[in-house]
Amino acid sequence: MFNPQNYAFNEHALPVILVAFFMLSLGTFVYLRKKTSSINKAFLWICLSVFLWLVATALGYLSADPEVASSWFKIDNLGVVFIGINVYFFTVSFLGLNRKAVVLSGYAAALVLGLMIISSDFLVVGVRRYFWGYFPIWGPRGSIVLAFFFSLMLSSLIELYRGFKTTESALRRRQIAYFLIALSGAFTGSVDYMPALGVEIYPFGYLSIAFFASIVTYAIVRHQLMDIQVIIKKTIVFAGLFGAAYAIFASFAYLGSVLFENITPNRWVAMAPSVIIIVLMLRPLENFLRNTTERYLFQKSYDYKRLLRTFSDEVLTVLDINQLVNLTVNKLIDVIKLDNAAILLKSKSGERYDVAASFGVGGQRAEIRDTDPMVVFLRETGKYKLYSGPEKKNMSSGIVSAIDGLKPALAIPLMHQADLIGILTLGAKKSDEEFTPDDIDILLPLARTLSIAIANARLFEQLSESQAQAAQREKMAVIGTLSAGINHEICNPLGIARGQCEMFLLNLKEGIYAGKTQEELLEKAKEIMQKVINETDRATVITRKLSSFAKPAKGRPEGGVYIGEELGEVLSLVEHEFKLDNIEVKHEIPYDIPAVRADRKQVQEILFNIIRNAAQSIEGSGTISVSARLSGKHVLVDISDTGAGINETDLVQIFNPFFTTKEPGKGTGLGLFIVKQIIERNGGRITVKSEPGAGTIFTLAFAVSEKNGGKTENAGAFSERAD
Amino acid sequence: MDRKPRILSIDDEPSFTEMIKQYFEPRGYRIDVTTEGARGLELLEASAYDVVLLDLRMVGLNGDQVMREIKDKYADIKIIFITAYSDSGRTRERLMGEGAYAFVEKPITSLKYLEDLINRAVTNG
Repeated sequence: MFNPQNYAFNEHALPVILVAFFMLSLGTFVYLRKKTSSINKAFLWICLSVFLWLVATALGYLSADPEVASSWFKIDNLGVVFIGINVYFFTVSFLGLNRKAVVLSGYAAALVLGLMIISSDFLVVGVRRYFWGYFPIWGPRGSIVLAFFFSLMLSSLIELYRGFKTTESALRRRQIAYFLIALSGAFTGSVDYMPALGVEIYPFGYLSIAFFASIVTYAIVRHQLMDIQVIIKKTIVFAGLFGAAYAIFASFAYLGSVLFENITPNRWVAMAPSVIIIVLMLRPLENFLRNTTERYLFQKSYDYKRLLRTFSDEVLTVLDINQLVNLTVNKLIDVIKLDNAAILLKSKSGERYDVAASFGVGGQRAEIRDTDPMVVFLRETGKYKLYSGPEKKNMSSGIVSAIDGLKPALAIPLMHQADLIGILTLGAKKSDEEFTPDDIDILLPLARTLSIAIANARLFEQLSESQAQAAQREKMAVIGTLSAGINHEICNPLGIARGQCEMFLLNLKEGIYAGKTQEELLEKAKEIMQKVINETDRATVITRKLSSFAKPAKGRPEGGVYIGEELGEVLSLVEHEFKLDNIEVKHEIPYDIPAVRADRKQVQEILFNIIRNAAQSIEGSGTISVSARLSGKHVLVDISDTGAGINETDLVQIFNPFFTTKEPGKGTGLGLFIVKQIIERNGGRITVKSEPGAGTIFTLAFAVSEKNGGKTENAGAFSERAD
Repeated sequence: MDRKPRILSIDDEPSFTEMIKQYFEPRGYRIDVTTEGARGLELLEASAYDVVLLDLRMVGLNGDQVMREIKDKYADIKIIFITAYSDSGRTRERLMGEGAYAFVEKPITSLKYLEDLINRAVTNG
């Protein structure tokens, strides 16, 4: 057996050896991952017995001498008798069954059989030569070995099937199912008994074992079979597979060169075709293997790359907090395929965590307070909480939390600067798969980015609020400066109404009406009352316009805003003032200019600000012209003045906040900044051209509204108002 | 002074000047009204007045300009500003400093008060 001269090269031995070593490495790997686990030990035993069987078979193939081959086949069958009992032992350990007696007697029987097979002609009575090499001939006692093997294998399969039927845990069921499939596949390796019994069938048993090993490997990677969690480096798996495939490939190429040696005596020339084939095949093989490993070993049931990509592209840039959390929930539901998901956000008071976005969690829920044990756990540890699955490290059992109402399988804290700003809860996957460490590896950074996005959105919200406040302050300041004109429009009518009444009473008292008849007096009174009504109406119109203007805008484009109408509203507030300042306002808004998509109030604010600026730039007398035209899908509004104009250095800064050329105290420097902000928020644009000494022209672009505008809400004194 | 003061009202608000006229005429005052500063100066040229009721902000010639004109040419005439313009008293002080007799903010509280004011202006010199 130990004399190399007794061996000759036989290509059929190569794949068998390869599978043998694959099984040996797999068993060793499983064992080393968890040395203490009896299941893993039992798996190692299976692998060792299979290794023994395959290696000895291969050596039998390689033997040139029938005697030597026969010795190897005896060793081969030693492995075989142990395979059955090893599989059975693994099965009962794996399922947690108590079959001690069967196992022990099984091992005893295997030991006895094995010893007899090695030391005598108990089983192997000789060898036969098939096209793949030598193969053992079994004597009549082969039936004992077969019965022993098949009874143990069938019992194992039955136990596994029962276990599969009765187990409740989804993960466990899947693990059992995979092992069941792997084992059934391996069972086809029994074909190797046929040639031993004299039927010439190629013993492809090693392929069955390769199948078994692949399935088990896959189940380990994907479903933590044998409680092994592997985060396998893609490159290592790829390198391994490539190496293995290449070895097989190279051996066939070597065979080819042996064939060519018959044609040419030069060994190197003979190898040339093989080398060429190898070189040509290298890339396609590499690609094939890369794709295969990607697809079967590393492709998650959801495509996490897509998740991360869409997440960073579409979700994180959203600055509206509601939209942000809703989009996130939808993406997670959509991509990971979850039963439910929710995002809780810390309330303003900080005392509660409210569901800001959810899917599939139902309506009625208990309030989640910041003192909730799970909230405390998440906040204090900053760690996620897995509600089921193999990774139970974080299981803090016994916590009763209001969060349970959201049916989470996984709860991830959303931390920002050591503060728990929210909680992301994910329900079970629709596939019933558990959350794996891989999932967690993806979800944790995702949650971290989400936290930042939420914090950003909150910040932006505050900023917009303060910006809106600034805009309102600016507007109130403007109204303050308007008061001269407004006063005129309000105080005059009031004074006249009062004066008319006073005059009537004084005339009566002082006898000025002495000569008049009752009827004449009544006529006089009627006349005065009509005047009073007219004057108070006049005052009412202006106050209504003013309060409508001063009311904060909604800030949402509502559509259907007619520039002409809003311009009219604005001009009515300033026209008297302008007249006094010798400023003429010309406006040409063609009647067929369509409505634009914007917030009415904001359009008024924009027009008001620009027109007021224009007026302020005019010294002495001048003209402000407002015109509108349609350009494609936009209404362009030109507001030009014959004022002082703006020099180039100032022009580039005029939309900057706090930039003003007005003397201290006269301008806040916010007017045009706010105008630009609100016009852009309304989906519009603003541009400016100016020529010092000649004037300035602002051009506003508003998108044409899809719907037709409604009339202004403050058209009449009796129109109902919402406020 | 025995006779009633002669009054000129210059205000760009026609309903105001109309009311003033309606009030003072039946009470025996000689009163002229106009809504334009320039026309007011013409009237001043044509007849004698004791008191001018003057609006401050008007299209064309404003109250300031009209007052300067009056002060130049008819130093005796008392000028009473009646205006809706309000800027926390700054303009009031300025105009009083420049020789206005009184400064009344619109809406005027009472016509009777205005009548008394006019009479006081003329009597007190």
